[in-house]
Amino acid sequence: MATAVASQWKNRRRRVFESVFQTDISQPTPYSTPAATFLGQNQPFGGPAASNDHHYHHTRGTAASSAAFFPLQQKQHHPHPEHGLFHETEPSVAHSPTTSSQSTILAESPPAQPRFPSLVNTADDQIAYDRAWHVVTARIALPASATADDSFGTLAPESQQTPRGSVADADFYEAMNCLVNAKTVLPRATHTEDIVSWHAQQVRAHFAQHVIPLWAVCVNDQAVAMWVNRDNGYERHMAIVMTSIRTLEAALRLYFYGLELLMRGFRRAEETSGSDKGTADAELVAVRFRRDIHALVSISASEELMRSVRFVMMRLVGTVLGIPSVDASNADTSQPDRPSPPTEDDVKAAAARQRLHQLVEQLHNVGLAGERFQVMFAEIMDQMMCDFVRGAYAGVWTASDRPIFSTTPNTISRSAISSSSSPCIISLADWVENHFSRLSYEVLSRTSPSMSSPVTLANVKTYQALALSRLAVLRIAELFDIVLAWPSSRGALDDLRATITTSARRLQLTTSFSRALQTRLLHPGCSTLEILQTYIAIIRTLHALDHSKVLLGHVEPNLRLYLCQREDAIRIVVIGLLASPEEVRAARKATEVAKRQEKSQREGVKEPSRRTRADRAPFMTPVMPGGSSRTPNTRRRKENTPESGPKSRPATPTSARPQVPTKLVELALLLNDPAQTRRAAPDEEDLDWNDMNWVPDPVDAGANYKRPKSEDVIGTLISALGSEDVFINEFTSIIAERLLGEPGRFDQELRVLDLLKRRFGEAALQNCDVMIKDVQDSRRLDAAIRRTRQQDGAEQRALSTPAGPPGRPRENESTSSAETQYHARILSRLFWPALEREHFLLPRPIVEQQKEYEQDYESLKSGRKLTWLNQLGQTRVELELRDRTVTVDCTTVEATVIYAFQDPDSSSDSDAVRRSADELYNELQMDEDLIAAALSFWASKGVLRRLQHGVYAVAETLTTDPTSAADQAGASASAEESEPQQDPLRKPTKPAVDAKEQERRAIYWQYIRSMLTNSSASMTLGQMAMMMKMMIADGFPWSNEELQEFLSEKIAEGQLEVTGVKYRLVKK
Amino acid sequence: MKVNIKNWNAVATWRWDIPEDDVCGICQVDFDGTCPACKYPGDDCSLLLGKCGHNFHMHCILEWIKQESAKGQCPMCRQKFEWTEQQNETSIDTTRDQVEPLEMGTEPV
Repeated sequence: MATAVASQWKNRRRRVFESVFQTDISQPTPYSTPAATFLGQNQPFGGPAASNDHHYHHTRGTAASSAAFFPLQQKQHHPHPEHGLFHETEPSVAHSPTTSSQSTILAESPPAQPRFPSLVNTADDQIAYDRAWHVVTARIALPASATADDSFGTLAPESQQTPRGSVADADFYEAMNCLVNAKTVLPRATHTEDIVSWHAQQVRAHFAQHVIPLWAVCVNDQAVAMWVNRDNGYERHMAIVMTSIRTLEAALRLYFYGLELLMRGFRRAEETSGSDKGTADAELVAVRFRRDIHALVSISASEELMRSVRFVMMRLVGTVLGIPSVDASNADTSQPDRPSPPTEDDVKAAAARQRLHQLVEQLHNVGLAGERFQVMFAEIMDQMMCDFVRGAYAGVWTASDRPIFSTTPNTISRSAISSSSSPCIISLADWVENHFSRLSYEVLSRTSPSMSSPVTLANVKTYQALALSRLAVLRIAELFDIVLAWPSSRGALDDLRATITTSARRLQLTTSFSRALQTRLLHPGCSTLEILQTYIAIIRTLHALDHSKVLLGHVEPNLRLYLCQREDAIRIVVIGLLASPEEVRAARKATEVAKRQEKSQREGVKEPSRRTRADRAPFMTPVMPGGSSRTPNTRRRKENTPESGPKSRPATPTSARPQVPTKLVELALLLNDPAQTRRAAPDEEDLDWNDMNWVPDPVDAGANYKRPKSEDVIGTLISALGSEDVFINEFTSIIAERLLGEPGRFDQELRVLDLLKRRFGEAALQNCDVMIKDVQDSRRLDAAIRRTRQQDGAEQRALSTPAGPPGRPRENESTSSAETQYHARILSRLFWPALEREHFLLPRPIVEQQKEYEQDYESLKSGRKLTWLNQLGQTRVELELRDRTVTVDCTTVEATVIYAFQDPDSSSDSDAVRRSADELYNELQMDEDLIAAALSFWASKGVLRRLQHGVYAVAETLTTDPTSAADQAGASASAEESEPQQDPLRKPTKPAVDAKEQERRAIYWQYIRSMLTNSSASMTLGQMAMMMKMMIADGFPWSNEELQEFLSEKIAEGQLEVTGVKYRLVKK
Repeated sequence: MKVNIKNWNAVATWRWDIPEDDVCGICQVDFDGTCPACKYPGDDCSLLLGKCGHNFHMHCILEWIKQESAKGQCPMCRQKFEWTEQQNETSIDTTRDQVEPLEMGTEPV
C-alpha cells in the first residue's frame, strides 16, 4: 500500500515536471544544446505545456495536500517591491508596453542611425516599437504561462559562434535593437518598456505558478513517504533536497536562457549603436536579475525543504567533523563513540566532505545558499561545536583516558595555547583549526565566492575562543563531580584553569558550584563525614584551580553556615586528625580498591560519557540500606546507573562499604604532609622578587585580600568550623577521652599535638600538654610505687616481723588480691575537661588496693590528696564459670557490677547467683543507668542471663537446657527492648532539680539577662562566668561547664542564642 | 562464679592538701593550677604553706619576698612569712631560685 502510494505520487510528480519543463532532468542545459536538437523536435517549446498544464491544474486540484501551498504561492508575490524589478503587476499586462517606465539603459543610449528601413516612417514608431516588443517577448516568453507565444520554442539557444543566418535570430536582434535604442531608432514611440523588468516579472509569475507547487509536491511526496515508511532517515531528506535542487536547476535554466538571449540582444544593439556604455549597465541589470531570482528562490524555500537541508547538512558536517549523529549511534549502541576528528585516510569522512561540497555548490547555483542558508549553517556549526565539546570531553578528566586526537597538532596557535598545556585544550584547538575552521572555509567560500577569504585567522581565533568557552561551561557544570573525583580529576582542572579567565566566568563558576552544593551536598541526606570529605576535596580542588583562594572564598559561606548546624563536625575533624597511621593506610588501601572496582565497573559498562549526563541530576539518590544517600565520590554514579543497577551493584558497595573510612583520615594524611603545615611568614611574601610564577591578585578579590601560600586544608577547615577556641576545646576533650582510654603509647596524639601547636601556638594547647604530662608522670609514679612496695614486701619478708612501718599497714594476707595489678592515673583536675565524679562502692579488694595506693602516693608527694574517679578507668577481669573461663576487658563500672555477682563460695554447687538491679543499687550505691548499662553489657557477653525485668543471673554453663539458651539468646535483645521502657520511668527523675536549685537558676538567669542587656550585647562564657562571680554576693558555685549547660538550656528554650563563642539574647 | 580482677587501671585527681582557701593570694589562680610563669602544675609549681596560715604558689611568694618592700612579710597578714618544710618534698631555700623538681619515680617504666 505504501509503495503503491509512493509510486503513484512519483509518477504524478514526473508528469507535472515534464509538462512544465519538457526536458528530461538529465538533459544538458539549453546553452550547450546544439540548435538542431531543439529544432528537430519541431514543435513549439511551450506547446505541450499548455495542454499539460491543464492536466496539471487538475491534478493539483485533486491532490488535497497541495492545497496547502496556495497561500504560500500567493504570499510569494508580495514581499518583493524592494527588489525593484518585480512590480506588482500581472505578466499579461506587461505584454504591451502601455505603461511607461524609465529605463536606465534606454535613457543613457546615445543617438544612432536608424537601421530598419521599414521603420523610417517616424509616424509608425510606436507601432514598430510594439512590434519589436512583441517579437522579443514572444521569443523569451516562458512556456506554461497561459498567454505564451508559440514562437519561443522555435528559437535555438546560441552562443556568439552560432551562425547568424537564421531569420528568426535576425528578427530578434533587430527587434532588440529597436527596444534598446528606442530613443534614437524610434524617437516617436511614446510608450516604451524595460524588457528586462518584463522578463523578471514573467519569471516571477512562472516561478510562483509552476515551480513552487512543483517544489511543494516534491517535498510533500517525500514527506508522505517518510510518514508512510516511518523512517526519518538521511536518505529521505537527501532525496527531498536533491529533487528540489533539480527542479530549481531546470527552472533557472529556463529563466537564464531568456536572460541570456536578452543580454545577447543588448550586446548586439550596443555593437550597432557603437556605444559600450550600455553594456556595463546591461551587465549590472543581469547581475541584479540573478540576485533577485536567487532571493526569490531562497525566500520561497519552504520550511520543510529547509528542514531537510538542515538535516542533510547536519549529517554531512557531523561526519566531516567526526561527530557521530544521534540516530547513527542509536542504531548500534555497542559502539561507545565519543566524537573524534576523522583521520586523513577516513574514507567516510572524505566522501561526506565531497558530497557536502557538491551540495553546497548546487545550493549556491540555485540560489538556496543565501543568507538563510548561511544562518542555518552557522547554527549547525554552533551546534556541532557544542556536541563535540560535550561529547568528546564530558567526564574526561584524567589525563590518561582523555583522547589526544592528533599526535602532532598542526596548529598555528600552538604557541598561544601550549602555555596552558592541557591536552583537552590542545586537542580542542587543533580540532577547531584543522577541522572546524577548514570546513567553515570550504562551505563559506562556496556560498560567497565574492569574498576573498571567508574565514580569516582572526576568525579561527574566535572559533577557538568560542570552543574554549564551551569547554569552560561544560567543566563548570561538571565541577561538583570533578571535586568528588579529586585527585584523579586534575586534568579537568587544567582545562578549567586555562578557560576561567574572566571575572564573569569566575562568577558563573562560583554561582553554579554553590547551587550544586546546595542541591547535592548540603541536605540532611549527607552525613557530616561526607560533607567534610567533600569539603576537603573542594578546598584542594579550588586551590588547585585558583591559588588565590578567592574562588574558594566565594563558595565557602554556604558550606560553613551549613556545617555550623552539624554538631558533630568538629568531633569528626578532630578524630580524623588523630587517626593512626594504620587507619590511614587501611583507608588508603580501601580507596584504592574502590577506585579499581569503579574502574573495572566503568569498563564493564558501556558508554560512560552518556551515562554521566543522565545522572548529573540532583544528588537525591534513594537511601540504600546500609548506605547514605550522598555516596562519596564515584560510587554515587554507580548507584544511579541503571545498567549497573541492582544486579551488579551488590558486589561493589557491600564490599567497598565496610572499607570506606569512617574517619576523616584525609586530615591525618594532610597533617603529616609537611607542605600542608608550612605557614609562610607574612612579611616574606611581598619580598619574593624571584618568584617567576607570580601573578597579580585576581580581579574579584576583596579589598584586604591576603594571598595565601599553601592550600592549608586543615586551617581552612578549622576556621570554617568556627573559632579556634571551639576547635581546641573539642580537641582537648577528645584527647582526654583517649588518654583515659586504653593505656598505651600516645605517639599519634603527641604528633598531632605538636603539629597543632605549630598552628595554634603553645599557649592554646597548654591543657593538652599538661594532660599528657599527667599521664606520663602517672606511669612513672606507678612504677615507683610498685617498686617501693616490692622493696617493702622484701624487707618484711626478710625481717619476718609482722610490724611494718607505722603509717603503712602491709597486708600479708593479700596474696589473693596481689594478683590484681593496680595502676592509677593521677590527673591535674583543672586541666582536664569536665571530670565528673560518680560515686559507687568498689569491690572490696580494690578498695583496699586503692587505699594503699593513695597512701603510697601521699607519702611520695607530700601535701597532696587524691580524689578517685571510680567510673573512669579500665579493668581486665577473669570470670571462672562452671564450664568456662572468660576474660573480659571492661570498664570499672562493669567490673564492679560483675564482681557483685561473685559467688561467695564458688566451690559449692548451689544455683547460679541472681540479683536484681534494685539489689545492686542498694549494694553498690551506683547510678541506676550505669547498673542497667553494665548488666546489659554482661548479658551481651553471655555471662549474665536476664531472667525477668531487672533480674539477672550468672550463666554458669553455656548450654544447660534449650530454654535457657534461647532465653540467653534473647536476653541481649530483650534487654535492649526493655531499655526504652525503662527510660521513660527514669527520665522524669533526672531533671527534677530541687526547688532551691530552681530558685537559684531563676536568679542567675535574671543576672545573665540584665548583663546582656545592660553591659554588653554579647559575651563569651568566660566573661559571663567572671561577671557572675563578681556580682553574685554569696558566690557563684557553678563551674564553666555548668554554666554552659545552663546556657544551652536557655538556648533550647529560645531565649538565648550563640554565635561562635558569644552568647546574646534573642531579640524579640 | 569466681571473679578475678586481673588488672585495674584507676583514675584519680590530686589536690593540695590545704584548707578550703583555694586561690593563691598573689596570682589569684587556683592552687591546683600553676602560677603564671609555670606550665605544669604539681611538682613543677609547688606551694609554700605559710605558718601564718596563708599559702601561695612557691614562685609567686618567692618573687614577692625578693622585693625590698616586702620585708619578708606575708602579703596577706604582714607577719613575717615563714613556711613549713614538707617532708619528702624538695627542701626549699630562699637563696635558691630554681627549685629542683621531684625526682622520685621519674624513671621510665
